[in-house]
Amino acid sequence: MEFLAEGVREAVRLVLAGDATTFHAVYVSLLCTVTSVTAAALIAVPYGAWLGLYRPRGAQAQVFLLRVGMSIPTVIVGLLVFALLSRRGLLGSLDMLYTKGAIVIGTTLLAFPLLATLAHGAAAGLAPEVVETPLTLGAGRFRSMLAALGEVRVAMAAAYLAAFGRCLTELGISVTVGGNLVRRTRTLPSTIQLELSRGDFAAALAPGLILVLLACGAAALTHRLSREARS
Amino acid sequence: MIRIRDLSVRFGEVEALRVAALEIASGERVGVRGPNGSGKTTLLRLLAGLLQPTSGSVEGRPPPGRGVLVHQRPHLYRGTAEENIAQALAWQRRPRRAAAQWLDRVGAGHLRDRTASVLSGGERRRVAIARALAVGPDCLYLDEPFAALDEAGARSLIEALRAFPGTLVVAAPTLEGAPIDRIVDLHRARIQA
Repeated sequence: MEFLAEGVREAVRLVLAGDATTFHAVYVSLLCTVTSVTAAALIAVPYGAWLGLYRPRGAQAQVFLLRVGMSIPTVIVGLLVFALLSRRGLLGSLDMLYTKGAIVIGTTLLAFPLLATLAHGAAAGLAPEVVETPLTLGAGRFRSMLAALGEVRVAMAAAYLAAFGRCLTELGISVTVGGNLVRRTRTLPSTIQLELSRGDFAAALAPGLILVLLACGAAALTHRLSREARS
Repeated sequence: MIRIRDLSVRFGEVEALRVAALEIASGERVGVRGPNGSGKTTLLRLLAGLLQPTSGSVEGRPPPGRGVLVHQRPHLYRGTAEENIAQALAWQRRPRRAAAQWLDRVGAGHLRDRTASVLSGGERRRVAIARALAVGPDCLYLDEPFAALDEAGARSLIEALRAFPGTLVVAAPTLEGAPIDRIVDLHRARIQA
């Protein structure tokens, strides 16, 4: 236990000292996560809601595939993106491997099925009147879907934060396609993994503390949104 | 003129509605009477274009926005009663400022600034009908519009419906006092001759 307490003390000291490498990892993690989750949400939320509200032909098969996508390990997603971006890959000419862009592509693929599945679940659980009301009033299918999504905005915000948490803490993609390059593509989880492999527990714990703080912030935001919606 | 021929609506194994023939002329006021579970809501959703028949045909239905359904449990969005009507007017690209006058027409002008979440069942129904009237439909389909309304509310609503110039279809287990010209009876998902 003393070893753990010592590690925490040293980690707090490193965070308070403003270690540049650690804070660059915070920047890379937040930049890649916000970009990828926002990009995924712009397509995945309307797509999932469409499946849930209008139940088009093949909707069940698509939901099944999204659930499969949700359970694929991040390292496999990383391998897939690696195959796409490597020199011999389909997008090799873009020369994006070991860049922040590569991490964004990977984490977007990670966030997409999660967001689409949660949007589908929230939309499918709505009473038919919620989407039929704007439809019958002449809003058209797209605006009716937006009106229905407005009714599940707290669930959607929670879905965004869940995807945010998953992408922020993932390791497989950032190491496989980001390359863990210091002050370029090193993220908080890949910093933890590297420092732990070097045997420096306190240096591994410092980014871990920041991750926990960010997770607490996301949870607090979800909690506040839920309370506002109830009031 | 809306024409239904040899129509069937099935939900899996269950036949929710079977209509051999039904015609509703433009401007006609029809009451659909039947007990709970007889297929009234299914018929209204079909007429409003929110449901497609499993077999048979339905011709002459106005498109959504021109034929408007008010559900048995109407849904109001967050915001005030007036904002709910203004939203519907915006969907049809009509001026939003006309919203309040439609509440007055159904005797619900006093609900103008109340948020939808605090309205009672009867109040929600009146706001929903005002919203449907506001978009100026050719056909109006009302599912149990007088349920949970007090006497004054029902009177205001009947007056507003009498003034409505389009086709009106009202579905309810009983239709006493409803402003209708004829009654169609539904029993066990079938229209009675």
